Formats: sequence, C-alpha cells, structure tokens
Amino acid sequence: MGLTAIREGVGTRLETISGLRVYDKISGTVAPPAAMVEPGDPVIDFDLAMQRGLDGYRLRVVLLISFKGDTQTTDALDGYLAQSGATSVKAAVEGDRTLGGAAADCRVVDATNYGEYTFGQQTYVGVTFNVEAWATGT
Amino acid sequence: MATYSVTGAKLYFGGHDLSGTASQLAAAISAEELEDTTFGDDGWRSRQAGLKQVQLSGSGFNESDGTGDPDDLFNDNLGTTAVVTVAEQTGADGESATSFQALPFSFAPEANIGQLWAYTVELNGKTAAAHGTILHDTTTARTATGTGTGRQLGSVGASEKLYAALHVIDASGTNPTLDVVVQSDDNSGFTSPTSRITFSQATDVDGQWATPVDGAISDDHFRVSYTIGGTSPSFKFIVVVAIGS
Repeated sequence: MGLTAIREGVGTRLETISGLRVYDKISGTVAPPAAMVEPGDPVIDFDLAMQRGLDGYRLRVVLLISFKGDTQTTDALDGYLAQSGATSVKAAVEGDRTLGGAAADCRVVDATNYGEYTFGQQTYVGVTFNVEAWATGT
Repeated sequence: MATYSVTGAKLYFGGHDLSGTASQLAAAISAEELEDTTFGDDGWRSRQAGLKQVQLSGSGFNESDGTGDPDDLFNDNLGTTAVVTVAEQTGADGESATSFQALPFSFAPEANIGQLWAYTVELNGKTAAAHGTILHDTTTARTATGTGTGRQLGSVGASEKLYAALHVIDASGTNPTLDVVVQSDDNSGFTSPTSRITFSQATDVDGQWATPVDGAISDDHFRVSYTIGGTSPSFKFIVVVAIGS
C-alpha cells in the first residue's frame, strides 16, 4: 500500500472512462482528453490512527480537453463533472472505493478550477478533481 | 522519559487490539473531593480524598468487518465487564501501561457527511486502575514455553497489592493452550522464583484481570512465565503488572 498503489488505483479507475487517456505519472506531453493523476497538497497525512493504523492521501485529477467550440467543450466537461454516467469522473473513481485494494476508502471531494489550462505550450480547457483516500500505514 | 509525539499508543479491550482504529485516548484517574472545612482551618478550605475511579475516553475511526472491530465489539459488550489496557507509548516490553476492569457505558458511532466513520467510547472502571509495567508485549508470537524479561519493579508493601492483566490477541494451532504466571524473586537471575499470580488457561483470544494479591511481598523482581501446549501453537499476548494501593 502507499501513494504509488493509490495513485495507480485512481488511474485504473479513470481508465474505465472510454476514450479518456490517463497519465498517472509525470508526463511531458498529453493527448486530450487527458486525465493526469497528481499528488495533492498536502500529499499525505501520516498517523491519523495509532500504531500506523491509518494514513490519509490527497490527489488531484487534472482533466484536460481541447477547445472545440463553446457547445462541444461545455458538453464534454459536463459529462466528466456529472454525478453519474459514462464519463463521470466521480462515478468512475468511486466505482471501486478500495482502488483495487490499495485503499480502505476513497472519495472524489470536489471539482475546482474550471477553465483554461496551459500545458506544454498548449492551451486546453479543463477542471481539477480533488480526491481523498485512506489506507493503513503498514 | 522526555516528551514525545504520540503515534504508537496501544488500546487493548479484552482479547482485541484496537490501537489501529484509535486516534485519541485519555485514561482519567480521579478521587472524590470531600470537604471537611472547619472554623479551625484559619479561613482555608480543607479537603480529603474520597472514593477513587478510573475512566477511559477514546475516539477513533469505526470499522465493522468482524467481531474484533470497534462497532461490533462495543455494541456487543455494552455494559459487559472486560479488561482494558492503555499503553501510552508504544506498548513495548518495559514501558508503562494502565490496566483495569471496565464496563463500556457509552459507545457512539459518528457519521458526518464526507468524513471518516468515527466513534467515541467511554469505559468506566469497576476496579482499581493498575498503572504498571509491561512485562510481555505482543511483538513476537510465542510458540514454545518460556519466560519474559525480568524487571525490578520494587517490593509490595503491607498495604499494597500486586495487580496483573493479560490480553491474548492472537491464538492459533490445534488445541493450543497458554498458561501465564507472574513470578517474583529477590534477584535478577530468578534463581528461586515464586508464583504470585496465575491466570486461567487461555485457548483463544482472551482478556483476564487477575484477582489482586495482598502485600507484603519482599521480592522486588518480577517476570512472566508462560507454558504453551498443543500442536503448532502460536500466541501473541501482553501482560501488565503493577504495584499499588
């Protein structure tokens, strides 16, 4: 268990969204629609319970899509932001709240920073999802 | 011991180790305040200590995966006597710990939207609080008969008692048996040990509070002796021994 397993677990859950390219490690380039799984801040809260019983993790899922025109861009992002549905990030990640056994539980907490993103000298439209996960420290 | 950051405290309830679920533990030992102020006290209040009590307040993250988890354990044992031990440091051999027989009088699971499922529990003592020394910890599973590390705890005065608590948190094998005895001697070599407290034989996870033994005991060295039987037996257990009034 640990950050690696949890990050990869989130990535695996995001890969259940058809057509979404998932990057669970630092990448110099991305091909949208892309979801980059990054450590949050703070990354880890150690020692939430005694005897290394529980650690808390924070990750960010930065979702980027190409700007296609107002209607298509908005519709695409609406799908990723939906509570449920084929492209819902929340539904995909929480479809297995153990993240394949890497966590005791996880939750997509919120979606923030809706708007323009610059990555690799390219401009995209996107949104950031904040994810919390908890796992034993041993 | 110098001050330290608490991350490894231990909580044992009966035959279960709940440490990994606990985030806050407070064992409060108190005596009733009895006022006996008279005109002869020169304008100052005077008090004496009355009845004493111990109460453990704890909180942490709730789980319900089996009989050894907080939600199952405390719901099933509300109002039922159990032996409790709190080790404030790491629960290692030689460290201090507080043990007593307790009645869980209050258990409150807490569900707050978006937060971890939590619990608070209050365990009220029905015996003395024995603040003593861990003479055997749960680090190593024992598979054969042996003795723990002997420690010089001091003699037991005529008005004092010898206390002991046992938690067996893991037992396996075919017909496994564990017999634990607290021994004393007047030397660190235990050349002629005397059995002071004998726990009932354990064959599974268990928690036991020994009947306190009256002083005086002039021996000042104490250790645990354990006899293990069965086929491929294995036990993890902790023993706390204390001297007090």
